[in-house]
Amino acid sequence: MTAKPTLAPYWHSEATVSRLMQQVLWALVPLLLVSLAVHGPGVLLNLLLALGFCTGFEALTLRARGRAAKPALADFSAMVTAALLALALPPLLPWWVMAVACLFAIVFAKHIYGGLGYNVFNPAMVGYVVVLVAFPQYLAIWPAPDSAWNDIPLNVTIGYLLAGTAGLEGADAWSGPTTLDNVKIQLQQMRTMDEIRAMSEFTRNNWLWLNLAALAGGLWLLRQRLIPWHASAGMLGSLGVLYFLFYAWSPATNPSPLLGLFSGGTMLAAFFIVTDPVSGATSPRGRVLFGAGVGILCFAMRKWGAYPDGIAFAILIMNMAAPLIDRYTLPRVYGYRNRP
Amino acid sequence: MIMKLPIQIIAEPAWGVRFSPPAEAAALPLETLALPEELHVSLHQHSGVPAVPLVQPGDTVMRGQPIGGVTPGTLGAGLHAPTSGRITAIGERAGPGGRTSVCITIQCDGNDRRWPYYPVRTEPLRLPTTELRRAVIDGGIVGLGGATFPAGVKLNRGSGVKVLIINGAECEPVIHCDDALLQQEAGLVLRGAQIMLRILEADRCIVAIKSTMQGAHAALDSAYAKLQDDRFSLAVVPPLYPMGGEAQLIQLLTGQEIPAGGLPWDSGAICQNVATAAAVARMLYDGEPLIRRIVTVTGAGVNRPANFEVRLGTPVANLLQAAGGRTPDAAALIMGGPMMGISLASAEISITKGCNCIYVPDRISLSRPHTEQACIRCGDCASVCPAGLTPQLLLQAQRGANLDRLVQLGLSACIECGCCDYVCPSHIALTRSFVSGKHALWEQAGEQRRARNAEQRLAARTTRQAEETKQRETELAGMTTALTGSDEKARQALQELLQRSAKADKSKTPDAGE
Repeated sequence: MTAKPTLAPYWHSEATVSRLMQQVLWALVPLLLVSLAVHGPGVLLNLLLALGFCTGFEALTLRARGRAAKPALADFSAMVTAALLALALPPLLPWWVMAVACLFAIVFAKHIYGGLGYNVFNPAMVGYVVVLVAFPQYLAIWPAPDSAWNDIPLNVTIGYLLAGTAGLEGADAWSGPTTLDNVKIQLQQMRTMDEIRAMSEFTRNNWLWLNLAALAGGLWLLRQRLIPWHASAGMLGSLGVLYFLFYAWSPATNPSPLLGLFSGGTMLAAFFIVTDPVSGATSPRGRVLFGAGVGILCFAMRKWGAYPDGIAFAILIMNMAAPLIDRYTLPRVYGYRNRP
Repeated sequence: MIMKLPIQIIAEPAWGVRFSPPAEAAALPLETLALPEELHVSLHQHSGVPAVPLVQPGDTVMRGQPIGGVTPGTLGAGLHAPTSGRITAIGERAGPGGRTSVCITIQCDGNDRRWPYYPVRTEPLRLPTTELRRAVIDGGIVGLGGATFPAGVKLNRGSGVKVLIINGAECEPVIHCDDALLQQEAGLVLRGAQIMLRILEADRCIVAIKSTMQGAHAALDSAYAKLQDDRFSLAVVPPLYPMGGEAQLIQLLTGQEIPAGGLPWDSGAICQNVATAAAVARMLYDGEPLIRRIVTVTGAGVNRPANFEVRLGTPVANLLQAAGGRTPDAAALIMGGPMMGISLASAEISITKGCNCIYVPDRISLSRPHTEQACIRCGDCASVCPAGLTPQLLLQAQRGANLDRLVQLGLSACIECGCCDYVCPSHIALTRSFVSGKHALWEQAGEQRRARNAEQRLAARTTRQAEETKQRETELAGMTTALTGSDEKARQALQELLQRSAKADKSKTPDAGE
């Protein structure tokens, strides 16, 4: 036996980035299953496509940067980005839209800034926003809020995926505005919430189920102590309070807190995106503020903005503010009355 | 009625690491290690300046006889012969951390004869406090928790310390020497604490133990029942790491913090390890200076883990042998615990005052198999940091060599406990990085001090030159008066001046060529 002089500490916990990312992927499974159930096999195709593009771009960029691809791919972070994109984008999507989203997420948002740990912006949100702005026509098509998994024929899904146009003749039968979109349009047409509710009598409320599934995954992550609760609480708290205040003030012209919190990408963002440690604030207090900022901006954009769901923009804006938040929210150091 | 120590249960703080499975496994037995043939007593086993040898090769010494002294005016501690025997050598030997230190080698004669000049007392508490403190200094007693700060220096009367904390809340996992000591010698610990209370003129003493140390708790209760000293109370702390850190314990027990850049007693409390208290009692009651301590020998790499009472200077090899030897899986030899210990290059290194544990892990428990990955700012490090630091930001500053930012983030509060390393999912060697960051700050501070000194010297020189010029001008003015006026005194002064300057010129001439 030779005692090699090494340095303390000699023990280490079992935690690894790779394990953390894998668990985040597991936590997305409920959402994936509900998505499949209500949106059909397009979700799965999207996921496979996104995984292929993201890992491909990751490997290529790493090679271009002269880094070993294997350890970086083994951290599963590119897979998490892929899964988030696949679940955030519509289930029916031409392949090149997904390719552009993945390209901007992995190459531009992540690696140009120095790779995992150095990206200022959440990669998935950058990819999402780029295609949202560049291809609004494709991102507007969602299955109706009470669609089922077999509403869209598989050949239509694949045809659309390959060509982007073919086989959409019968689209009116199954596509429709998302709940948030619908509410926004109807409110703009001076209808009251009661009228909107009466008009949109759905057999199922898919968006509620999708959000509940994301919430379930998020709560599991919290319970496993894999993500801190601060950012999620900040976001859901501020969003809930704002919805409540406006709803209490004028229930006819404002969606209820329940509708607001359980539609769109609210829960996906609250537990899988604002919790991204790299692009968010880093101290507990900072994270609460960061999340609250996302909630406030998201509410403002939903209420007064051009897009039905402004979460992605809200997150990117708060990503920019994260270093500033960090600056003012650092915990007090032992022995110092204020900051050193 | 049996009096029990009043208990204060300390709630779990937000920081710290709880090791799973609980490292507080079975209680290890306490044994006395047989005297080895040779002891190698290092001259540098305390913080401060190494001791100066008071003996020469060939000298015979007795147990407790001073063999190393403190250089006057420096921080240090004396050394004593751990047993009787003959000095065979004084020379460099390998020490922990790849360093060498000068050791006095004693060939033990096996008789263990006691040096009789330190008095045995029955009621040392009646002595004046200065004498008590003197005895602590004479006894070579240092902080035995690992920091090895000279105890006599820390026990400073009039330092405003109100609370003495006797620290038995062993810091690192796997180390049980304090637990073993309390179970065996709780009375000695409390009597030592009484002496320290008297030196400090403090009125409260809190003994801190972990909630897992039930045996020690019972022993303290029965020792307390005998003493009937109502200044004592017991604090039971949760079994978290690094619970036994001085700064952390003071904060948890008193609510006060050691101010940044300050000294422990600035918080109104000081910590002394239980073994330090016992050493003080041994010196004052038995006249025995610090020559022994308890060392835990443990880990999956030894056959029979145990606590051993050993004489200082005992080679680690003897301890390993007493612990049944190393197993084939032994993967390292560590002095201290798994979180802060120092890796030893060989078992020939000998036990010093601050050595509380010899940890021999096997390959499985010694884990750093992963390569370092990028920091994802998850903040797990910050959530366990007992000093409230944000290692994820410190790392950034350290990598960017941004010293100002390191100061701003409070790097000096880092106690190098290794919690951040332990939890880091990216396996970044944070502690190592912060240690080098501290060194960089020290170097910078040194440079600034040197620069400041140079500046002061320059300023002094400028003033001196200005004064000289002024004096010369005054003299010149005097000369002018003398030349123009008819004052006899002035004329004489002028002549003197001229002569002096001529002499000065003459004396300068030989130098001119140089």
